[in-house]
Amino acid sequence: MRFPFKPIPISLFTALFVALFLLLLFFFGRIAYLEIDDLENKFQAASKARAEREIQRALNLSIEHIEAQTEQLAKWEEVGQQLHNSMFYSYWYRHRAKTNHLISQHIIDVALYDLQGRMLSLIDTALLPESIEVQQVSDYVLMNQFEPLLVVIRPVWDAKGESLQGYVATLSRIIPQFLSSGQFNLVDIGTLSVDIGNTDRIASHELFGAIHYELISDDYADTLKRVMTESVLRLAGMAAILSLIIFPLAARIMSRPILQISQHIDLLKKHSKATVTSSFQQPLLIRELDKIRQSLNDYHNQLSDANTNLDEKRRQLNDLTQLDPLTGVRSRAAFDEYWNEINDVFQHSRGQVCLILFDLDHFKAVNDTYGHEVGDEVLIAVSQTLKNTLSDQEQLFRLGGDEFMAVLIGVNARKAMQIAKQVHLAFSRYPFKEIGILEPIRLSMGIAHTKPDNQASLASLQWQVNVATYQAKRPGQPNIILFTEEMANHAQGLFSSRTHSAVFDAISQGTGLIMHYQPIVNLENGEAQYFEALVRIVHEGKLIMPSHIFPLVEAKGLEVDLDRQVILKIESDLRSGLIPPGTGVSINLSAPCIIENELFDWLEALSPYMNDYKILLEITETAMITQMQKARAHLSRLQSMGFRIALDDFGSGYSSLRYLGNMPVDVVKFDINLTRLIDSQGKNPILNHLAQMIVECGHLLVAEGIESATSARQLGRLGFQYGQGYYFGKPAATIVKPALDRGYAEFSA
Amino acid sequence: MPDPVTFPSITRIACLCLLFCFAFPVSSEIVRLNVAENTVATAELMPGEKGGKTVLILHGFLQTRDFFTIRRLADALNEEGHAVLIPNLSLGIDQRQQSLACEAIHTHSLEQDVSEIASWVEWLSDHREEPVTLIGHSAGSLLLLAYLAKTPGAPVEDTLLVSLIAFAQGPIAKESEDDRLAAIAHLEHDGDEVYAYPLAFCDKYVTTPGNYLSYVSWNGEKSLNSLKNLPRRPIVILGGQDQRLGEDWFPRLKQAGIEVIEIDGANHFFNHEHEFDLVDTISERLH
Repeated sequence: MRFPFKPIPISLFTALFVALFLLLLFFFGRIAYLEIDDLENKFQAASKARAEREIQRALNLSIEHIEAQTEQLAKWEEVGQQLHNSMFYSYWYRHRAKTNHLISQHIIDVALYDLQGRMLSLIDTALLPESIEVQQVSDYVLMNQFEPLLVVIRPVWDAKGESLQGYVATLSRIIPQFLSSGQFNLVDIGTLSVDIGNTDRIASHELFGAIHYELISDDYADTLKRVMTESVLRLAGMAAILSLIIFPLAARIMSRPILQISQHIDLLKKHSKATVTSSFQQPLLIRELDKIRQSLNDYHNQLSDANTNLDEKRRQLNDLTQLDPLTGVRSRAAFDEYWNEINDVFQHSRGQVCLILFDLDHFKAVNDTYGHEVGDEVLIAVSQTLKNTLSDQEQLFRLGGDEFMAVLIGVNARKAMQIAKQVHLAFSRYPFKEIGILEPIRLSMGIAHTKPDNQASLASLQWQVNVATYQAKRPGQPNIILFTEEMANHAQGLFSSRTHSAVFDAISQGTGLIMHYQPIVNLENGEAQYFEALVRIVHEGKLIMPSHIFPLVEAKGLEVDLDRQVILKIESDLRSGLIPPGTGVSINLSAPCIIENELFDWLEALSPYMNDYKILLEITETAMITQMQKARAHLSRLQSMGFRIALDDFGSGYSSLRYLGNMPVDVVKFDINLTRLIDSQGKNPILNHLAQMIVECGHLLVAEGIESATSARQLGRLGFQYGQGYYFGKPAATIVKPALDRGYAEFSA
Repeated sequence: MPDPVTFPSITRIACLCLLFCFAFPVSSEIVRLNVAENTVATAELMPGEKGGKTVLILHGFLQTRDFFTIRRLADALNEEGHAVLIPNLSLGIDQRQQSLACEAIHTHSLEQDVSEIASWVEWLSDHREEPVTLIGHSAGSLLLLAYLAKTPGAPVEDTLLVSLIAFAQGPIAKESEDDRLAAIAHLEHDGDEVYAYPLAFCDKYVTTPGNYLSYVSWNGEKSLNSLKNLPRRPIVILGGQDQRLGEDWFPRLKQAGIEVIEIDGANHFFNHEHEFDLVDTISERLH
């Protein structure tokens, strides 16, 4: 899992941590302040509730007091006396109504009303109304210049309580009575006021709601809030100061070792093989970090040891890779390394570099025939021969398999040729029979050298020596070949990327693959008996010839694949009727293909055509068949399937008679060189007898390379039944009847 | 052999009921009388026992029957089996139950008080069908005296005047001759108006001149003369330490030939232990 952010420096992390801490401090400080504020509000609410209770209680007491006094007045017999006889009501009002012992000083007016609610006598100074509503007698509060006055009205009954006499009303200053009725600890009396709004009176029970006041400052709550606020601020301030002091200090204590570790890691990365510096051996203050330091040092030391061991192993491995364990000469890796050094050295300076590539011919066949142990002994013999022949200045490498390369510095082509010949001489004298090899072992050598006027040739020197070696391995070629520019053109097939891709396309998919057919005629009458199928590849409108195809196929080991495509193509041509019925077709098979198990399946596709065609399978005598037993079995089986077996290029390669003796051969095709030999030396008795012997053994004898009627007649006389050559027809995509000259016709006739 | 069980006789049941009647005295009742137009006076009638006297006890100046001297005396006499009527003079107030302040407007006159007394005596004697023993206290004694003087044939058996006092008599009396003359002048000028006069213990007794003069006319001399002229003279009971009456009052009564019983140490109201002396004295006189 990857974090979506980049790692940050510890200093920034510390700063962020301090900022976060301060933010949290501020947050919780704010919460504490709000809690204090809330507490203050609760105090105020509680104080207000208590103040309301104070107000309510005092108001109730004062109203009850005034009501009680009014009720006492209503029971006062002088009141009844006045209601009974109001003759002296004015006197009574002035001298008795407000000065009697029943009422307090806060009752500022008293009035008596008859049953109809009329004041007994109108008094100028009376504050109470002249009449009252007797139907709905109730107490009320009215305002007199911002002072609330309470009017209490009570009915006056007779002594028995049976007869209503009238009404008595009192007008009281409620506020003084209110103030004298209660004890106010929370209400600011000075702020007390009554507001009844726009109405002229309100019911007495509504007075509470009309009272306005302010609370006395609650010293306890104020002090508590101040103390708590100061405490919170003090704590927050102390915490902030301490955090600003301690956090950087702690961060420094924490971060310095971490920075040291980080710097040490950077140092170790920069100098991975350096030992742990003594400065970082000092123990760190923090145990965990010190543990990291120790672990880091330990790991580093272990890593250094591991590196040391690895270097040693690498060196040992390098030695192993630099030397070929079998032959003791330097390996392919050593060659590459050495070649790079040469390139570095000769990149900006001129000097002669010469390469000699040594390649054993048919080494695989030797391995397969005599076993790998013998093959290894051959390789050791080659390496010993080379080492003994070459001087110390001439570097020898085994590139792989049976290939050895000698690098010669400051040696020209002539000298290189001498060295190669010396090697050839020494090699030819080597007693290979002592290790059980009877056949001659041939060592092909290619030589390439830089041209003084062409420094760029160094880069292509390896390619050149490969081309030269390939040429040396070609049949009929000297085994020591010096690379020439002409070879470069000839080797395009082998090394051209264009040809390379065309051949691969033809082999893999059959693309561009065509067959050219060359007739094989009966020397007696000149009629085409069958046609040899020869491979061609058409690419971008041009033909790629076998000389460019087969080196690549052989070099890449694609013989079997090519043969398969050839069989498919021939089947197609047979199916299309390209080949005249009654004749036949011969197919060249490579040695690897003969021992391929799937060959039978592929050739089975040709079985339907066997009634109309003779189908021959040609085995080149120049190709060494490695598994002779299996090859013989396969050929026998193919023969039983109806195919005829032809031995091609007889007399040009290995073990001609051995093959002829071991293989179920029906047709023997004399190699063109052998045919020419007969042609030029018409009375060669060995060849004459050889031909006769083959014929007498029941083989059909075919001569290749017939270019004239004379040759054809001569070969016919020697017993050759069939002939092939330009005289009878060149290989062509279409089959034409051979155009024989008159002389041959006469001969035939 | 045991006595046979017998049912109680009717005589025994009647005696048992009578015993219950005596064992649980009948509670008092309030009696009302129309003493003037729209004015009802009340009295508390405390039923007596058979053989007990019929007694009317009258309260003092501006007081009620609940004044402690009157109440205790009435209770004590009633407990002795006497039927006691203790009226409240209306003093011009319907069904008055409270004492009246000096400064209150007094619409009553002494004649009206005497008339109410006459009504109660007549009602009581009619109710009890026997003459009434009158007991007055302080100014109540003076009013009974005025009643007796005005009503020669009143159904009164005996009269006991406790702490008898007269207006313009003694150190407590605030009124003077000048006040009387002023009242006379007021009466001539506008007799229907009320004025504040000194009277008895009142500095400002608010009343009409006529009403005022009705009281102040009963001064010491008039009272003594009235006593002397009564065919059946009342017995006067005075406290030995009564400071309200003046030092010459007792001698003057004696000199007038009035039987005066002096209770040593008692003040004008016979409170404390002298309450019992007063009751004992009156009880003794009633028997």
